[in-house]
Amino acid sequence: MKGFLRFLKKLFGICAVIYGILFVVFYWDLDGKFMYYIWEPFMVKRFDNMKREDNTKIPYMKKDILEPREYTEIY
Amino acid sequence: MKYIDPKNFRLKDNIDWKAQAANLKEIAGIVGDIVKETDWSEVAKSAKKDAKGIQKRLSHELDLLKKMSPDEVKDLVLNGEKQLGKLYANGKMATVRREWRGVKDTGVDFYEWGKMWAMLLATFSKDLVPALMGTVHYRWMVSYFCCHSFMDKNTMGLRGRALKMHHELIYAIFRYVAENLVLLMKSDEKVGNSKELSKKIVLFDEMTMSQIMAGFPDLIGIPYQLMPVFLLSEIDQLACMPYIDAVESYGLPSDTCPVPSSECGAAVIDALPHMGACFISSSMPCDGSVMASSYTGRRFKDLPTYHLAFPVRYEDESIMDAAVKDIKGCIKFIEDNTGAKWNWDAYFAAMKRFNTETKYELEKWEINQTDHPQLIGPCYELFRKWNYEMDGGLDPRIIKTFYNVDKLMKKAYECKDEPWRGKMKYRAIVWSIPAHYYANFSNWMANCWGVDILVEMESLNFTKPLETENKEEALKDLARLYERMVMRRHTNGGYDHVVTELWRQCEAWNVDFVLMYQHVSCKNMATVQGLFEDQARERGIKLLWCSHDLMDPRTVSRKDMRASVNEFMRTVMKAEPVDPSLVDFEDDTSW
Repeated sequence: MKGFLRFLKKLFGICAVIYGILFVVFYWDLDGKFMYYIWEPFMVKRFDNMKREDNTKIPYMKKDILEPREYTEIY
Repeated sequence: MKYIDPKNFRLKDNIDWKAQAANLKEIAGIVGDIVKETDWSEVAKSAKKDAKGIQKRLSHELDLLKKMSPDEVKDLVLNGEKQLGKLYANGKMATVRREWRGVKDTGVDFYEWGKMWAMLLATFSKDLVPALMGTVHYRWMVSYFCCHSFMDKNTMGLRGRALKMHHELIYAIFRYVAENLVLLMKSDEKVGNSKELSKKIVLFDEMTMSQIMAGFPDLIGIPYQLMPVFLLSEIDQLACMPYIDAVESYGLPSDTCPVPSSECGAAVIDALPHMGACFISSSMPCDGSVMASSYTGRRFKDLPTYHLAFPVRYEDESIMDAAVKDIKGCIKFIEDNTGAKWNWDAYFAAMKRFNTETKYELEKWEINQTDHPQLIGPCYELFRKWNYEMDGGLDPRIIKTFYNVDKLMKKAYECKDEPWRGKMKYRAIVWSIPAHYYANFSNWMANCWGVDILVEMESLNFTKPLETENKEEALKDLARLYERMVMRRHTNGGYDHVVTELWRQCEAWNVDFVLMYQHVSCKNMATVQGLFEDQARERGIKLLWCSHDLMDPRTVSRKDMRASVNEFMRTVMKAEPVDPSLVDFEDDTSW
């Protein structure tokens, strides 16, 4: 029983510490600050240097996959 | 059946596991690069500067606390702070800290913050590799990391049951967003490349309603531009600029509406995921959108496209045959391209839910029309539009959200709660197109000037219960509903639907004034501006004109929008701000 109580006390302590840490992160908006100071600047740099397909190189024409009439002439 | 079908998250066929291993390696490399390339001394310097600012603020707040009487301290501890402007820091994206709402409500807010993080992590973990790859491949994915900041902005100043209701609503929206982001990334050719999943996806123009997908329970309907462009612009005001610049550099005039501009720009810079069995476009809501649909349709040659283009003559029932024919054509098109079969039972079941949701919505309107409005503010406005257009009764979990909110709202009404305690002074409705980059504008108006935005024009749509037994009648009702998509009824429906309708609504909602958004690139609404002004003068209705450029804050900034309101409130309404700290502050570079 004593062992169980000690375990409960430990569990309660751990939960309280986790709760406290999470509350500090929440209240001081540390998640937002992480995004602002670290995550976003790095990702923006990455995206700016990323090679992407130039979609304007695809020939600009109408598709010939379907006949529109096939669907609009349903009675 | 569980929604979304868990099978869709588990589909692994056609995934090239070698490529996924390479992806994982790339992600690990990126994390390594973050650690290596980040200028930690710069980060430390900024953090130190920030810490100094926090320290300064803390000592300032402690000084204020010392000067307070015991009653004022008790009020602060129990009911929270009242000067919300000090949460913003000049030139910073993140807020100095989150709002202190009093012990109980800060606890609620903290719980909801944790719940949202848990949901996001759990959802992304359903297929982590493609989700992570999407995060490092698409610029717009970064903005979804600020969804907590978006939640904060939309719930600022709220207390008690109103806070809980708003969290319920925004949680439902973000769950939809997170799940669809995972499915998008999983099926995208460039990221997850799950062909099996891709075959089940029907893409929609972002303004096209999803109700038709209720008849295809085995398929997934995804509004194509919703995540990379449309919703993104509400979460992060800076996100659409690269798209707009890209398409304008190819010659698109800069006075085009930023919605289609951004969508085309996203295609130009290859920011749209590529997947799906077919694409349903629409004539919604204006010529700009038609341009964007055609552009998307032509650029993605391998995606068969169906143009769902209803006549815009709402009062004329003789066009119903043509509209039903269009719906039937669309159903056949989906069947042909996916191999799925239309299922009436599934459709009727979803529409029964949608009818119940509409009934709940009407109750919200009824309560907001009284002297004690309860569910007001940006989360409600956003939820209404999302439910009407994107969800459409398809997700059975949303009924629970409606039920919870309804229960809270009725209790709040009984107790005559004030969502913004001690701040509610004026009644107003929003007319015309709201600014995406300032989605929380009505929250600012409530906190700064005590203005309650009771409803938005775009919420006032089709409320007739849809037919759930007779099949022919059901198709007619579906056509009537689609004719009244968000924005279509008002901005395309002709004079009576936009001008005369406003005067009817002013009476129903008993307003002190109307917040008239003037979207500077919207040609449709510009045509009736003079009529609004003349008729409002004749009727003695006050109009607060507030310019914006929908998704481009460089034309009219948030600060400029606030300045129009400040001037109107002081000169026309002869009012004093309820929170002077919010009258003038910098947020041009914030999310």
